[in-house]
This record gives sequence, C-alpha cells and structure tokens, in this order.
Amino acid sequence: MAGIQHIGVGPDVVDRSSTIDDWACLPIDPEVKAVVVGFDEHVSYHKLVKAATYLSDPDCLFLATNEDIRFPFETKVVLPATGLCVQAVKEASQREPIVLGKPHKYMFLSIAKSFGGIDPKRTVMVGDTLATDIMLGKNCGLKTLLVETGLNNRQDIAENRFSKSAEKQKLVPDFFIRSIGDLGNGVLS
Amino acid sequence: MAACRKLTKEIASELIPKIDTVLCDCDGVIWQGNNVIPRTAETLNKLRQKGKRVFFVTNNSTKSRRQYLQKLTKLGFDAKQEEIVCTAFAAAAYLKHSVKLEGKVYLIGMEGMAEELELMGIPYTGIGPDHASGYDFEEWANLPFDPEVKAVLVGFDAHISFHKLIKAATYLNNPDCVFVATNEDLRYPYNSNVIFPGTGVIVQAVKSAGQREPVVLGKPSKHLFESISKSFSGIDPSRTVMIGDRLSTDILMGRNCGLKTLLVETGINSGEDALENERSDSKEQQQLVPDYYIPSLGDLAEFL
Repeated sequence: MAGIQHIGVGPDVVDRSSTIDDWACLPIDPEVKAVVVGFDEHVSYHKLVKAATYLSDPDCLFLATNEDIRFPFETKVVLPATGLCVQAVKEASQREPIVLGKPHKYMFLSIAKSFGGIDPKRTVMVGDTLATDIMLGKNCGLKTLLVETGLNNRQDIAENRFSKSAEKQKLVPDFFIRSIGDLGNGVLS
Repeated sequence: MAACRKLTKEIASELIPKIDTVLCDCDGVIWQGNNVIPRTAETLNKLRQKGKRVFFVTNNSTKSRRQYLQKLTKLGFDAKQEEIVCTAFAAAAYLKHSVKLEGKVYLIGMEGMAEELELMGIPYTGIGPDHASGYDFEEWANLPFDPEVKAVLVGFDAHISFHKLIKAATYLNNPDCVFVATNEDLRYPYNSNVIFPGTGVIVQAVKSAGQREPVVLGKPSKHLFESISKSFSGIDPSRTVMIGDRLSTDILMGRNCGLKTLLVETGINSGEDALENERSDSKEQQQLVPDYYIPSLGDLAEFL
C-alpha cells in the first residue's frame, strides 16, 4: 500500500537433505536495502541466514516493529511473540534495530506530527502492559492508565513500586482499573 | 601473564617438550567445511609421534562421535572415537550421568544429537521439521505435548521453527524441566559472502521464548575439559595446550582451565584481534588473549 517493494514473506522451509553448501547458494537480492522484522510464524533458519547476510552491509537499514516477549492470551501453552523474531535477527546479524513500537516514542510522535493540538499533558495512554504501554506513556509525558484485562495487574504495579530497581520503579502507572468497560459503566454514565 | 607471542620455531622448540596433551578444535583449525587445512594432519601425526595425546574438542553439535570419526578418517586424520569430545556426546553423557534424567528429552537439534541420545538410552522427541501452517492461534493453543518430557536440549537445528519455540517455552514453563544447551557460538565459520548464524542464535531464541537460562556445556565453559580429565588419567592442565580459532570460546576455555593456549588464524580470529585485546582497558577483553598464535596449525609441522 505504501508502494515499497518487498520480498521474503511466507514460508521459507529448509529442505531435510540440504547442507551448508546448499545454504551458501541461497538467493540474495542485491536490491534489498532494508530488513524489517515483525511477528513471523514462518521464522526459519533460511530467513535468519538471509537477514544476517543483508544486514552485514552496514548501509542496509534494520527496523523492528516491537519487542513484546509474549502474547497476552490465556492459553495452556506459552506463546512467544514478536520479541522472539526480533531477538533472533539481532543475534544472527549482531546489529541493533530501530524499534518502532511501544515503549519507543515513535508511535506517539507520529500521532502528534499528523494531528494538530495533541498535548501530552492532556493525553492518556490506556494499556494492559507495564513494559510497553505504560512505559510509552512515561517516555512521552502522558498520563497512564493500566487495565487488568490483559497481561499486568495491581500486584505487578505494587511489585514495581516497591522494587529496588530504579528501572522497575518507573513502570508504575498514574491509575489502574479492572477493565476499560468499568469506565464506560460506572464513571462516564 | 606473559605477553601473547607469535609461535616461531624457536618458541615451539621450548614449548613442545612441556606439553603432554593437545586439545584441538576442528572447524577453522583442521578443516573449513569439508576442506582440510593443509598439513594439519601431518602436524597432529608428528605430535603423536612425540608421545603427545590428541583430543578433538568441538562445539559443533551437528555430528555424533561416530560421524566425526568418519569425517576425520575420510579427510586423512588419525583418530579414535574416544579422542573425540563433541557437544552432542557431552550433552547425552551430562543428561545420563550428571542429571540422571528419568524421562524424555524435547530435542531441538540434528541427527547427530539424536544418535548420541539413543546410544545413551535416553528417549527423545521433536527432531526434524515442525512448520506452522499459518497465523492460527487455535493450532498453536492445541499443539501436542508429551507429559514424559523432563528436559529441553538445544543444539544447532536447521529446522528451528515457531512451533518448536512454543513447545520448548511451554515445557520450560515447568521449573523442574531441565534446560541444557550445547554451545553459544554466534556464527558458523564458512568461506562465503553468506553469513551463517550459529547455534548461539538458536539457543538465544529458546532462552528468549522460555525466559530461562540453560546449562551450557560447550566452550568456553570448563565442562568439555573436565569431562576429558575425569575420563582419562594423567591429564595435567599445565602440560596441556588448547588449539583453536576463536578467542571467545577455545582460548577462553583454555584460560579458564589453566591450559596453555594457541590461536590459529585459519578461522574466526587473527593474531591482531588477540593483540588488540591485550592492549584493551577492559578486563573482559584481556581474558581473550592466547599465549601464542600462528597463521595455521599446518605451519607447526615445519617446526616439529
């Protein structure tokens, strides 16, 4: 949609009988000038070889969408999230990406640029994750509200507030509420 | 510590009589891929003729000892199976004799590791391709799990996938599940423009997914050297030399175990890298300095 050509999406499966001599012949496209990493359920060794090879050119841009470690869903399995894919490409390439997602400021700054009259002091960030949503709010000088319908809850807040780590002490929102729905029912009626 | 020196004929003639045991790394030292590095077999033969014991000590987890013996023999090296100290074997032995594992292993690794587990009588599951069909939470939430799995073992796996990382992370969510990794080398040395991420990248992915730290057996951990000195009598660290191409694994293990250390320049690092570390202000970098360096192990043949 943005008119940027891309390659690499989808499965890139390693053949059972292939060896390093085959992988040395993997197609590397000379027109690639950037590696962008987001969540990819098809992450594979081939993709890591290609990403690391593209990124061995210091002029090749390295972008990542976000670094969330887990999907915040109630399942009996542990679901690693995008952070896993990004970490794998960082290790494979030995390079650091520009990370666009929360808690990095980019997403708030892009809103403030695109829309007039956004005052950080009169903006609230509502989220379920202390390390991303609330951290973004703190980084950008916003008010912050944690909801307990996702990853974190008031116990996590208390742990952070009384933590010995200065980093953890930053991850304390201004407010918390059980659910955003409660705001609709109780407060705004 | 004495300064790092280039190994000359004169220095070698002083050093060699003081050595009884030679630990020799493989990738980047005696071969590159399937290409033997010239005169390295001759060097090792001459060292054996002078009464030195030789061990092949490799972090590469893709082959069993039997497969390494085949490769060594094919490429013209004298070797016996018990001289081969590879991480696939070390992992199976560790799970059997140290952990005394009762249960299955969830294996993220290749056939060489599977072979060593079988030889040790340890059941395993998980080897080979395991692809996600698409972005499907239902599929992921209902992946099959084996209640008999009591350990996750990670080595190099060309078939690493999202499914495998979900499974490993879920098994590792139980704190009683043992977590072992063969090594953390980040790059596999191979002469091409293509970059080959090493086992370290696979291990980091499982660490990241599982949010846990493994026991790592390979260099620079002391484990591989300690397993040799436990199994063979008369190994004196001060009369043992570790020969390798990588400062952060081979040379560091050598230093950690009180061995003499020789860097060769036919793999990852150069003498210049070593000298830079020696000049560094960082205490960590200063650990990554060998006693000696030489362009190639093959050059030592001239001095013997």
